[in-house]
Formats: sequence, structure tokens, C-alpha cells
Amino acid sequence: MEIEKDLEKLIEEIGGEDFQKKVQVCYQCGTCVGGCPVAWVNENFNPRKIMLALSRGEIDEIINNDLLWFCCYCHTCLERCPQKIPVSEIIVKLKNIAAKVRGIPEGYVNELKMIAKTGRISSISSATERRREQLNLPKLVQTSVEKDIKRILKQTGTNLFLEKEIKK
Amino acid sequence: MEEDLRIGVFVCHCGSNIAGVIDPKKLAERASELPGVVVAKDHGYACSDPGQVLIKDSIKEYNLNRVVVSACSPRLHEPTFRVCVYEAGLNPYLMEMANIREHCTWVHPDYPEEAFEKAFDLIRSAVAKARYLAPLETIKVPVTNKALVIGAGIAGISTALDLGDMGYETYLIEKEPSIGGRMAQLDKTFPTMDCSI
Amino acid sequence: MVDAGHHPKINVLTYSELEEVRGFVGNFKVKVKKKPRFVIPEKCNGCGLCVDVCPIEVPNEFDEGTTTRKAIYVPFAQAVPLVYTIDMDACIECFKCIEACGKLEAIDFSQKEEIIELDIGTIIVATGYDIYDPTPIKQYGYGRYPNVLTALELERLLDESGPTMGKLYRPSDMKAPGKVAFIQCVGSRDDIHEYCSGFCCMYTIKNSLILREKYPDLDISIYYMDIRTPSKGYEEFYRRAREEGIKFIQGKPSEIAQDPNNHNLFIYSEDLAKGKAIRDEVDIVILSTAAEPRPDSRTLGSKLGVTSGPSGFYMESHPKLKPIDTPTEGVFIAGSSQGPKDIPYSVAQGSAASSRASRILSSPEWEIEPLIAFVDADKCRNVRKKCGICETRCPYGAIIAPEGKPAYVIGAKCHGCGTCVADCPEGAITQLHYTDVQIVAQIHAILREKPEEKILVFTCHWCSFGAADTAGNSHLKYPPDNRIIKVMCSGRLDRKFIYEAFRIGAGMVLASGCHPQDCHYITGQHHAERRLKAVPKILERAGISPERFSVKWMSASEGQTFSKVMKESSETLKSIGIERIKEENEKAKPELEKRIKTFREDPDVAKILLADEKVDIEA
Repeated sequence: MEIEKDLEKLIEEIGGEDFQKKVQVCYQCGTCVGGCPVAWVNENFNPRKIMLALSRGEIDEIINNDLLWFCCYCHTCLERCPQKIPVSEIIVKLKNIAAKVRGIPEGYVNELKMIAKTGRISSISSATERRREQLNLPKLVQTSVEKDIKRILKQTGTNLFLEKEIKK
Repeated sequence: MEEDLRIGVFVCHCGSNIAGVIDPKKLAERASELPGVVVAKDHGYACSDPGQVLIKDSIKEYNLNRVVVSACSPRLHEPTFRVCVYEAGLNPYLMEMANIREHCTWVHPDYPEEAFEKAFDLIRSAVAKARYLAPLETIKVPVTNKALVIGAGIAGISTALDLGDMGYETYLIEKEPSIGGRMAQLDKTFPTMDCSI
Repeated sequence: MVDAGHHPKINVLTYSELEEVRGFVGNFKVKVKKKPRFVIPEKCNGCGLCVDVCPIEVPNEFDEGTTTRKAIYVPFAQAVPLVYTIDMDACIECFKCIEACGKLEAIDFSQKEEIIELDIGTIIVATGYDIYDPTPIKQYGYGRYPNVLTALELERLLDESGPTMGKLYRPSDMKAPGKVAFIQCVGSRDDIHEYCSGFCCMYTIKNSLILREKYPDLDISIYYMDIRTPSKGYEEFYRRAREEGIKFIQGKPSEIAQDPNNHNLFIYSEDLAKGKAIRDEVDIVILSTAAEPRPDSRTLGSKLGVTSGPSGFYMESHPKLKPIDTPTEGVFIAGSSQGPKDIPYSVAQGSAASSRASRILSSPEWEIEPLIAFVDADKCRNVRKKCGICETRCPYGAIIAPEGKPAYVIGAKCHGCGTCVADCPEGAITQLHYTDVQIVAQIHAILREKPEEKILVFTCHWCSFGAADTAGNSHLKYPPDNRIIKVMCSGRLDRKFIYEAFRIGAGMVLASGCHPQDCHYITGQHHAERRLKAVPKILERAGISPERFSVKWMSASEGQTFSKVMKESSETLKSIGIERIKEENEKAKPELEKRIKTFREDPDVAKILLADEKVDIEA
């Protein structure tokens, strides 16, 4: 039951009592799902069910499910929730907890590695450049990884994840 | 003035609503020590018939000239107990209430000891006020037996029709050019699908 | 409707509004403003020739703007009275109607606004509700998408005498729809209105059944969160709708989109039973919009001494036991002005209100509480020099201070708020049942033991005491370190009560009462606020931390607020600490002693003060 204790501590650190309270008023209307662009792509992603599990205290169930990571933070759910539950902000907090408890999904790790290396989540391909040219968009510039990216990674604590993941 | 005072204190259990948190018997015992109090009793339901009989009998038996009822909110039962003491020959304004339910046991179930002290303070306050109560006579005013109904929708029309049928001159005012309100806008009504006009 | 119009005992005053109410139960003096119709009812035969010639068209409010009407109009065919009215906001005064009316001479442009004065025993407020305009809910597109309607608009379209003779068309192209959807709880049970509007589930089911009857092949869906059918025959009605093939989809739609080419609508929702996001293409969407309080309900309420709850609907005296009564004796509420109600409920309330009113109307005289004020003529300074402060404090004109003579109270006019008592510079006025000596005795009783650990709370009878009751009724817990003393109105709160409480060691004092617009005594709260504003400064100068005294205004429905204020006060008390409180009180004593000096002039009060000092010495 060590994990459970850790969880409680983590929730507390993240200001959990507050968001758990906020979610208690959820009456499961589904507005968050109806407007969710991800739910359209992946019908298994369902913010309402995440809120339901949270209000019932089933946090480990949420953080052990990779679906949590599908939320793309468009905040439509937060805007439209009739009970003003900050759904997307709560999902951010849940992701933070998940990251600490069990790490982040592989896809994100690879993206992070890419960012640490190049400053982008994917490399600049010739196809991208061609299309930008067609659309009259300026050419992509290489970011200074050493100066800016590393600083950002350090200040957000992301580098620690990265080190942990690389060690694995 | 003080020596003439004969105050009776009645502490209601309200079933478990009060007695579930604090002990009304003990409360009555402590109240009996307050200056001017000649008797303090507790009862399961002070507002019930037996409860009121207890108050009335005590007024007679102890020759009480002030009554403190420590029970629920005066907004609920002040009229009840005023009539009760009046029927026992006391001026209704010589009765004072202490609200130890809504303001105490219902909101402090987690602090029984502090709730007891608070309830006692509220009784002490009511007893203190009771010492200075004076008999008052109600004011009788004449009544114009005409009614004014503001708004002629379904509720207002129903009110006006009933009052009119009872024989009272009734004024039904409506800000729109016609009476009928929202109801007139509806074609059929649920659950019987009859016409609304 | 027609019955009311013909009843020999009912005087129908349409196109009229309440202007002013004075007086008290059994004896109200009411002024009613009768707006000019510019048509003489006795002469108008309702022929409608004037309408044909009127060149002005404006949206018809009776049809929810789905049709137009002329500047001269009757709102609908069965109107009572069936008399035409000229809408002066629209009329261009071309006078063609006068010509058309001809020899009847029923049109009279010289009509003026009229004030009718009435003597009234009881007043019943039945002003109903308004329909929420869903335009601000942008994601539903009402006002932008022609095929998104409100339920009341549909109601008009379904009416045989309505704009389409009872036929349903798509407003965008007047084509018959193949598929319609209703959306429930639009503006109800959300951040716009917290409450459930109550009757929308049922009227939606009713409208779906009417549509089914008219159009057997129409595809009808209802998007809902919960279907609420608590009254007699309602659940059976819901079953009938299911039997008739109405589709009930649980889920609150997130958005409606429109195809710009054909104005078809797309509903984006979750289908909860399936647990999946769905998209539904329909011809017409009907929004079941919330019921909300009339925009002028507070203004009207303040004329009548009727207060509004947090939702804006009128507050009853007690949610269970006095659902029809209001804080003002002789004034009652019926129907949706108190909260959304359906027709059976409104009719029942109308009967209930007439019964409550007849209790008063049937008696030749009515007894009112004698909690009135009186003046000690020997103390009144108006004899020596012009004062008359009391006269300016009374909103009822119940206290008069004639030049050179002592002020006096007209008993039947006095409502017993005690504002004049608290503001009398000589302490010459007494309020029966809430006398200085009674209140000081209560302060001393409560603070006899461990005063520095206690929060003394002054409440008014109607609102803040009621808020404490509501907190109790709802079992909203808070710490037990407060003690309430009740007066009728915060206007009674003499500053000396507060100084005296601190003088004998109170930890904190909280003064409370109603919100400014809700005062049961019209201006009592206003005077309390003005009077108490200076107290924190005075206390601070005397050495008492200003946070130990606060003033909070709340309505009887705000149990949550009361509980919260008690919690916060308790925390403040703890954070200051008993030692500091004792120190401050000791330091402030001489100054506070000065401020309560006049109390010592009242022999009864002086006796209490003295008795308490003796206890101090013994201790």
C-alpha cells in the first residue's frame, strides 16, 4: 500500500483536495465529451469518465490508463462545463501525478528526447519545408538547444524525467 | 423587581434533534440555578400537547410569571408557546425562547461539550431578557375587506376567482393589455392535453 | 380568463402597474398606475377596422416575435378585455385609425396616465416568471441559426391560432422538417441558474407528443440530463412518449453547428448510455429554456417588503410551513414569482393564497404585534431645541417631532424596527420587547464566563437570524464559539451595545442584518450601515484590533454565508489569541467606559452594569 500513501502525498502536493472537491459536483451530463475533439478521434477517451473515477476516488485507475495522455488541452470542456468544473486543468494535474508515479508514455518520452536534442518534437522534413513554401510561410529556424531548451527543461523539471527514462 | 420574579425554564429534547447532542436534563439542572428561576424541566417535545400541558401546569403549580422555552427557532414556534402561556393565564409577551436547535445542536454535532455551554449561554441570555419582559397588549387594527392581486396569469386569476367567490371585492391588476399571462400563450397543457384558455 | 373578466366582485385593471404601497396589514393604501390605451373601452366594439389601416408593424410579443402586430392591437384573439390598445412606442400618429373608427369615436389620443388610489386589506403577488433568452449561450447558436427555436416559440408555432396555423416549418426555408431535437436544461441547473426550472421536462414531452400526433413520421429526439416527472400522471405521460417512439438521449449537448448552405443543424453530444460522442443532423432544434425571475421583481418587492432569495425569486416566510406568506403581514405570494411552477401547482397556490388572505379579510379587525416604540417626553430634547432626528429615521411617518414639543409615536403606523431608538441622542425612545435593558442583560448573560473566547452576534429578526436558521435547517456545521442576540432590525443596533460587549471582555462582535435592498423596514439597514461604519475606527483608537468587529449583510436564505462567516470569525478569533484580546480589552476599557456613559443614566441598565462590576470585584 506504499503507492497509495505516495498518491495521497502527491495529491496533496499538487493541491489535490481543492480539485477533488471541485469534481464532486459533477452530475455526469457529458457536455465535456460532446465537445471534445479527442473523443471524436478515439472513442475510448472520455473526460466524463475521468471525472467520474476521480469523484469516486479511483485515482490509480486513471493514472494507470494511458488514455489520460490523449487530452490535448483545448479547454472546450472547461469552457462549457455547466458546473464550472475545470476539467482540462484537472487533467493536467492528473498527468502530473501520473508522471511522478509511473512515468510518461513512450511516445512522449521520444518526443521529449527529440526536444532535448533538436528543440522540436519532430525533425524538419523536406516535405514540411515544401508545404510551408507553398503556403508562403517563412522558413523554419533552428532553435538554440544549449541555451533556451535546456533551460526550459531544467526549470520545468522535465530533464529529471528524461534522465530517469533514459536510465530505464 | 428581582424578588418578585418566578421564572420557569423548559428545555426541549426535540426527540434526538437536541437530546442527541446535549443532555437536556443537565441543561435544565444548570438553568435551575440561575437567579429568578424557580423551576426548570425538560420534555421530549415541548411543542406537543403533553409538552404544553407540562408548561401550563408548571405555570399554575409554581405560580410562574415568566417562561423561557429552550427549543427550536422562535421563527417556528414562538406563536405556539405564546398561545400556550396565554392559555395558562400569562401575558403572551412574558415568554422568551432560546434557539438551541437550529443555532446549536444542528450545527455543532461534533462539539457536544461546547454545544452544551453554548446552549446554556443561550438559555442564560433568554432568562436575562425574561427578567425585564413586560406584559404587552396586541394592537387591534380595522380591516378593509378588499384584496389586490398583482399579476393576472394562472396563479393570479385563480387567487382572484377564489377571493371573488368568497365575496371580497378584488382588484386584479395586470401590466399587459390582456389578462392571461404565460398560460394564454400555450396551446395545450400537460399531462391531459387540454386547452389552456 | 373569461370568468375573471365577468366576475361581479373582480375589478380587472389591465395595462396597469403598482406604483406605491403604504400602510400595513388590513389597511394598505395602494396607488395603481393605469397606462393610457388611447382607446375608450366602453366605445370600442373590437371590430378591428383600425388595425387594417395602421401602417406600423412591430414584432408581436405574444407570438414571441415569430409574427408582427400593428401599433394598434389586441395581443390575441381571446384577450380579456377585448379592447384595442395603441402602443405609443411604435405609433407614428398618422391618425388613420381615428378615420377608420368613424362614428364609434373609440380612439382618444388625449388619454393620460391615470393614478388610481385603492384601500386594500391584503395583497397577493402573482407576477410569474420570465423566459431566459439563450442568446448568451453562443455554442447553441440561438439568434444566429434560424432553425434554433426556444420552446415558447415552438409553443406559438404549434398553436392553431398562431403564426403558422399550427404547422411546423423550418424557419430558414419554410420546408417541412424530417427530424427535430429538443435540448433540455438550457440555462437551468448550470452556472446561469443553479435551480431546476421544474416544468421543462413535462412541456417538452407534451410538445413532442403534439408533434407526433401532427406528424407521425417525424423523427423526434430529446437530449436530457434527467427527466423529472414528480407529479400525478407525469411519469405515465413520459412512458406514453416513449411508446410513441420519441427518442430520449441522455447527454447535454456541447455544441450546435450549422451547415451554412442548407441551414441544417448538427448536434454534438455524448450519448451517455453508449458512453460515446455522437453527432446528429437535424432540421430544427428546440431549446427548453429556463424560467427566471421578472427583471423588475426586486423593485416591486421593495415596494411591498417582499425579499428575493439568491435565485432572484421571492422568498416565502418558511420553506415548509409558510410557503405563501411573506415577511410583510398581509402580503402573500402565489405562483411562479416564488419559483418556477407548472399550472396545477400554480392553481393550487392561487387557492392557498386566497385562503391565507381571507383569514385577514374575514375578520373585522386584526391583531398586530405591539413591538412599537414610545418616547419619554421628559427626556426628548426637541422641547429645548429643534432635533427631530427620529422623524427622519422613520420610513413610515410614525414618529412626529412638532416644534417645541416632545416627539410622539403613532402606534398603528409604527412597524417596530427600533431605528429611531438607536439614533435618539438622548436615549429618550424605547422599543417595546427590545429595550436597552433587555439587550444589555442578554449581553451580560452571554459574556458572564470566558467572554474573550466568544463571538457575540447581533442579528435582525428577518434576514440574518433567518440565515442562521437556514444554516441550522441545512445542518451546515460551524464552530460553537458564537452567541446570537436578536433584534427586529439591524437599525436597532446601538453602537453602545458593541462598546459594552467589548468593555466586559467580548472576544469579537459581529453585527448583521439584511442586504440593503431587502430591509423589511425599508431603510433600517441603511441607517445601521451608516451608524456602524465608524465603529471599527473608534475601536481601533481605543486599542481594539478592528478585525474583532465586523458587519455582515445576508438574506434569510443564505445559510451557507452564515456558516462561512462563523467559520471565518472563529479563525480570526483564534489567530488573535486570548492573551492579546485580554490586553486590548484592558487598554480599551476607559475609552469604552466613556462611550457607554449614557447607559448609566438608565437606572435599570445601571443596575446590571453595577451587578456585573461586583462580580468582577469578587473574582
